[in-house]
Amino acid sequence: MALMFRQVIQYDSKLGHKFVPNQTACVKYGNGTYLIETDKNGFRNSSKKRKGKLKIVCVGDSFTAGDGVSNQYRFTDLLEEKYDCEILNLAGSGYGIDQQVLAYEQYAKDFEHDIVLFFPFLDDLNRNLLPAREGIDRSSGQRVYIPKPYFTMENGELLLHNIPVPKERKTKPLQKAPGNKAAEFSHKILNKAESVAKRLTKTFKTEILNQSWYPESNDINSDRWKITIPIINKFKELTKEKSLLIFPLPYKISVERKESSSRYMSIFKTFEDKNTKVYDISETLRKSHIPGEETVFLNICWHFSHNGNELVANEIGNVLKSKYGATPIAPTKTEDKTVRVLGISCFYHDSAACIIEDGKIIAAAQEERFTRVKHDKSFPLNAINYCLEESKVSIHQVSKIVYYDLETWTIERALWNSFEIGDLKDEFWSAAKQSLYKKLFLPKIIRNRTGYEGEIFKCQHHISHAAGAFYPSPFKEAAILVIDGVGEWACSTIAKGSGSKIEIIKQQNYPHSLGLLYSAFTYYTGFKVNSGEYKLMGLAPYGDPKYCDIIKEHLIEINEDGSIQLNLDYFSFQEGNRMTNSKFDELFGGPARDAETDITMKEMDLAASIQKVTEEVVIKMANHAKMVTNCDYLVMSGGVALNCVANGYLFDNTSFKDIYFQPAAGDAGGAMGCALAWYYENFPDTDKSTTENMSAYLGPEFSSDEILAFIDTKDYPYHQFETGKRAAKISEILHEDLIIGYFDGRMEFGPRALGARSIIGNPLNPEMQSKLNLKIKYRESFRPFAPIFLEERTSEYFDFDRPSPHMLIVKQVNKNLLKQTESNEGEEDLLKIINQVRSDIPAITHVDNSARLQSVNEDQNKRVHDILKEFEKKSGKGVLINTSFNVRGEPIVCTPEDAYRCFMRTEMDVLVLGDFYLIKEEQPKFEDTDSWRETFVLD
Amino acid sequence: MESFYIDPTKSKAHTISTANIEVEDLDRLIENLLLEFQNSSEEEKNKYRPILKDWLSSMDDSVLSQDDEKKVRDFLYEMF
Repeated sequence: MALMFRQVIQYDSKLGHKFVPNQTACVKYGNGTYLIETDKNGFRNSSKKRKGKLKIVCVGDSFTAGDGVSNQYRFTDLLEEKYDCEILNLAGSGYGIDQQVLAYEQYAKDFEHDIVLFFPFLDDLNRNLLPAREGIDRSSGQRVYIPKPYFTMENGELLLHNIPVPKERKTKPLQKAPGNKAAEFSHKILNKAESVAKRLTKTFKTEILNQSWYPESNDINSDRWKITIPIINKFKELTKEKSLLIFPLPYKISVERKESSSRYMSIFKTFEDKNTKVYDISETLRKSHIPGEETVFLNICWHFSHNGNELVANEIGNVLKSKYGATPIAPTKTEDKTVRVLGISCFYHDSAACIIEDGKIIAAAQEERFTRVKHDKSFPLNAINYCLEESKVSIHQVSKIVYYDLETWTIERALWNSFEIGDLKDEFWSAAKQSLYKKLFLPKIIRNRTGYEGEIFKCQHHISHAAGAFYPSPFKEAAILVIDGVGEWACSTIAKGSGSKIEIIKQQNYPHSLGLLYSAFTYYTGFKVNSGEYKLMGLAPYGDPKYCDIIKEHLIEINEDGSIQLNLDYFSFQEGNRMTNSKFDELFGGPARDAETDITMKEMDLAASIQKVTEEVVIKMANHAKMVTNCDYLVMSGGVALNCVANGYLFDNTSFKDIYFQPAAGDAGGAMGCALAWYYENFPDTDKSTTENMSAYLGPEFSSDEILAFIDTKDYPYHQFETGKRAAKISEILHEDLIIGYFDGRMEFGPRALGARSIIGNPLNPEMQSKLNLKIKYRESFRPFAPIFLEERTSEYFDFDRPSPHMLIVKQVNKNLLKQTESNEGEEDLLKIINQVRSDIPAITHVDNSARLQSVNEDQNKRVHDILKEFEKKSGKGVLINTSFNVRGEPIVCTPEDAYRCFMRTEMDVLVLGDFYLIKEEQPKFEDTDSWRETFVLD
Repeated sequence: MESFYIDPTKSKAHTISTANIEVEDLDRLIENLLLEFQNSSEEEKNKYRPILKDWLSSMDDSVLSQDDEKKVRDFLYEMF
């Protein structure tokens, strides 16, 4: 995994590299993060800029670009805040003075300015000698050498080389820069220094590697000065109509050692003339530096801390005020009154984060998308950073953090459970206590990992689910049904939502859990608990529910009100090492199926049976919820609400007028729910419509600039859709039965791909299901694909008459589209059953003629709606196959890079990345460094 | 058939501060933890107290900075 999910630096043919234009990105740095915001040219200039009187251009490297601090805390932005001036920052991280001058030459001309502030860091002098700079490749993590432009002096003339800058990144340093003997020599020395340094102590090694050249900065006859002097003279020529103010920046180590700046300053002073002045700020830095404290520099690197930036801004400000008439201005910062709540779910499964602002949902994402670990349960630092990025705030601007579970109740249940199981008590407790310890000390983890200092709250698990379903739903009043494995004590909850209030009415407590019963069958049929349940549901239509009576006779007692009692003699989940026991094995005639062995009729029948029992319980619970709440509407959440077959039956078997299912019904949705629960509990007068009609597209989006940055930097062949012809072109590709990896807009929150990170294909082709399963998803072929279709065609294609935007409802295909098929009775070959053509849209019609519906309207996703309209024109049907953009066991892709990797690993034909598309046969040979088939195992 | 549902405790706030858990003193932490328990009698709490003390005094804080457990997907830990 790359250090950060966004690519922030891209290839540039003139400068070598620059920031990705028009981007806001949260950058991990040490234990913290900072936000960068870039302009249309790829420099760190914020969009909200004040117009000031004095126009200034700033030129420099990472110190001036602001590595380590958000835009507003950099000395250039602080100057704008303190003085009546307007600054264009043209600095680039890693730039030599050569690149700084070239950046000025290219981009400063469009900004009328009076003053140029130039911040040469002493190490930049060395960079002028190099044809490529060392860096780390995002994809491979390998050390690479990134080409850059460079100058040489030949016959008294400054010559520019490496233009256009080559794209290829070598893994070994270029030993010889053409026409630059000094560079060649420098590389040899540097390599030698590195090899010596490797044998030294860590501290000394760091010093040598980081500072290996700094004594040369004092020597005007050194190679670095020989090339730097003409480059600065070129800069003076470019700025001759302006005032050029040079502020040389010293090495951190020389500040720490209190070394004098007189020698290098005397060289810089030689550039002074009428328009050019040189200022020494090193004395101020030396005076302010306190070892171990971030009074000037960040501890983890040589860049300026917040305090350091403030110091530099003050120094420059004094010069601008005394010599150039800059007028100080009163601070314009207004108090941020936004109530910003960050919700977190983690340490069970599907860690996630969600941020809301004054009750409005801004962003939400699951951690697995960033770490590429399916159902990742670790602390969701990446998801948190993404949420901060979307809100454009730092962690210190978050008002409250809320966790989605009351860990003390969970600890209480674990203690109770350990005494319940007698002899196994010690074993159980010993296994559980490390996990419980992390939950108990989550506040400490939050503070250590994010630097957050404010108040932390925690929320009842089922309230988190209930709030996540009710507040975003379109209903002002609704019955709420939460069913999952277990949360603290609760396994199912009936509640009522009314305006800003949620009231719990009935609950069922551990261990009598419908979710755990279903998971027991998931386990017994050879799938993974907490992730393979949807497979069991997909398998059910192949079987005969012939075990229903056995289940109801031996395993579960079902009350008419939907409450249940499990017969614990058959289960082992209380002991914690497996879900079912030998008695369960005896009941169903043998041990649990081993994963990846053949699925037999027995597993299909078991799947059909537990599905039917589940549906019966869910319908009874829902009807009881109707009775005790007297509400017209129902909202559902908890893992069982992902059982879209049961969800589909609720429409026909209850009297609710409409039903809403939280798209991230599992624990990920708890992150959203706990934030909303806290908000509405503390601001009960908030109008619920603030939160309603939430889109499921709450994850990261990648702009055309970012997509191009990726494709262009990697040099992958691509095409751009012609304006206005995108949908038609995509539908044409689909109509040729080609399979598209479709990546566009904000990523979905929740387990379903809803047309932002989807693989799409032609559902009219009967072979498409098999092809997709075996050549692209590399998974069991029995699993059906879902249709994505024009909302206005819902009742024409299916036995349903309302929107289903989140793919959480299964319904029958309209009988007018069905075809006669032969009976499959006794047939165990799944492939034969699958390949039967059952309808006019065969690839999305399951063996029981059902389909998992996702309708799309223009408001929800206009670009997908347009494609469906175009496909309808060509094929007569406004429907496509929609399956998640991943291979088996892999989290859904998040970034353009994830999408490209998945595209190249499979037999997909075309990759759509926003406004661009890539054709498989045009791509270079893909060298896969990961053993992904081992990494992404079956659920 | 008698219902298996229970009536929830209605007086509890849906969200509570973690301040009571963010205390340094171990004995105070244990008492605060027990105060939040909702389904345990005093007798049960007395039974749990030494287990909690033993647990919390024996754990190493280094587990708080470990993230590698994400690789170990086990339903036991996901339930507790």
